[in-house]
Amino acid sequence: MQTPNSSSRRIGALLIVAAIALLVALPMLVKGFFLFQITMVLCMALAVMGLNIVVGYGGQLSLGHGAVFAIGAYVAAVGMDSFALHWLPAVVIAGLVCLAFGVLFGWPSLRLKGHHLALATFALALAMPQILKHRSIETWTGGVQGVMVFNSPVPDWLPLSREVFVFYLVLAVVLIAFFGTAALFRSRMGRAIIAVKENQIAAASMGVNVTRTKLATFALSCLLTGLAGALYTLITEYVSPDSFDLMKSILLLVAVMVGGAGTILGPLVGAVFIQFVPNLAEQVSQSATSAIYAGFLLIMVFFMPTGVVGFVRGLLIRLRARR
Amino acid sequence: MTDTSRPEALLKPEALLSVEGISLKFGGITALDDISFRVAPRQICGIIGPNGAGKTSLFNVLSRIYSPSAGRIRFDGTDILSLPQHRMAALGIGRTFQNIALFPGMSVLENVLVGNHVRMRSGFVTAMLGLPRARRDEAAGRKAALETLERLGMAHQADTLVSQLNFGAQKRVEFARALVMQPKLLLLDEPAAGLNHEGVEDLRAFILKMRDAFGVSVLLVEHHLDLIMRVAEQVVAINFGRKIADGTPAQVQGSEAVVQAYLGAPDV
Repeated sequence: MQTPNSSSRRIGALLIVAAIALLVALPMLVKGFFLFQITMVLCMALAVMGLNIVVGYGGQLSLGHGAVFAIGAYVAAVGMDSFALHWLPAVVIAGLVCLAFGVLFGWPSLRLKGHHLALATFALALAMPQILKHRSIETWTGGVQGVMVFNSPVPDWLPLSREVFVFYLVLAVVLIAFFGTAALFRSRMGRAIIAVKENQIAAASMGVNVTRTKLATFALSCLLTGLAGALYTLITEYVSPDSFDLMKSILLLVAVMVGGAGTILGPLVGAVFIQFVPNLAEQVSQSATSAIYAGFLLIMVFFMPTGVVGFVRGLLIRLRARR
Repeated sequence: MTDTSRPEALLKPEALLSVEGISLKFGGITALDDISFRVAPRQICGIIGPNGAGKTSLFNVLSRIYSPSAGRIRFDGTDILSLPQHRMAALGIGRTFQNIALFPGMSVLENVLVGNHVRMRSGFVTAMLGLPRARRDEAAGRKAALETLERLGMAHQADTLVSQLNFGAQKRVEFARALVMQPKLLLLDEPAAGLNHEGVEDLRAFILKMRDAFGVSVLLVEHHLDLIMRVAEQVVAINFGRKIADGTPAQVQGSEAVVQAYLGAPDV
């Protein structure tokens, strides 16, 4: 594979600009439930971007990013509900809490070799719904009831509906994360992350601090996924403990793989998959929804083992080689 | 970390690397037993020995993968045994690997850029925000990487994925990746492994050229006796974990212990 030449890079940039323009114009084109669904896709894409950093680029397995998402969602919800915070500080604090959580949780798990991070995060995902329901924090989390957030985030001077405002907010955060991640993986630390995945001893010989790089990778991924959780609270106005079970973590992982692990655009595609394919499966057959969904997934795994973005990239390279 | 006050350092200021009484034990087995030698700046030093003599163990001690049970290693005035492996690059020790250890998903240029890690500066925040400082850092890093590739005659392959290169070219990328950080010492682990006669000839010329063009000391561990004898200025021979000879190639070749080790060792 050759790195993209300047003309294909220009086409790529043009496509991205067109996609952004379409997204910015979207609230004028679609309304109601579909806009809500697109907002959810973007929110999930942000969560998947976070997981993709640790799984796709860092080569570590996390089975607990659904729990990180939950922490972000709950910190934002509790901040706005119990502490009457404005949405902006609530979201920022949620992100920072998840960043700190990533450092504290990753510190012991990443110092060990092998699959310890996968096991530790699996345990976290298992425990999270019960932790959120625990009586000692019920005053803030509302126990099994969860937390409702009623106050509208729309500033008075903006003539936007709540849905449209939240859509633009999520879009803005996703774009910042998207371009930030893309820039990171064209820089020194981004290459260090990939180097650690591909050959730890060689990376260390080049002066890369392997432990610290893994920790930073995990913490950064928790920041993005936690921010997605906080935005989820703004979108749904409600968080409940059972929406953040182990399945959530697995679905995020599915999205990473289906979209294309270790690619910049993969998370967007993966988020579309986990958001829309279940509905599609239901339309095909209501009695065998899960089986149909599983069928879609197997087709993806067999025909696009490197994910949709990896598949398309391979196709483009073959086309260019033929020319 | 640097204590030039130590008398040894003052006595022999010419040594870039000094290995002093290194022993390495795995359980009850002694892999290395009281090994000492020195490497001067811009010198090419070869370590030879029959199979199982402890060459690879010694190499892994020098590159901080194994920690010895006794002894000291001083590099450029610093006791390297007190530092973790990832600090070696910043001190000025580069290395290549016996079974090529490139980053296969990256292009040639990106591999060399990772080699430049310690000489670049940008962190997570500056890079993600696209600050001018990060852009300057990236531009300077790329320039240095391309210059190194150019000096090794590989600039035209900068954008090729390393997994698409042939074996010899991959080896050269490893050299470029190790040289871009401007090391003072280059550790080569069996560089002739897998090369045919012509390849070994090219390698010999390449090592000499590297030393002259980049001004590095080279320490190589090698099976290929002929290469060592024709490229090294100093040869250290080991057998059963002990040093049995140390001197010029001619001296070592004439040493009775070395002849015995190669002809008499049962496992050659």
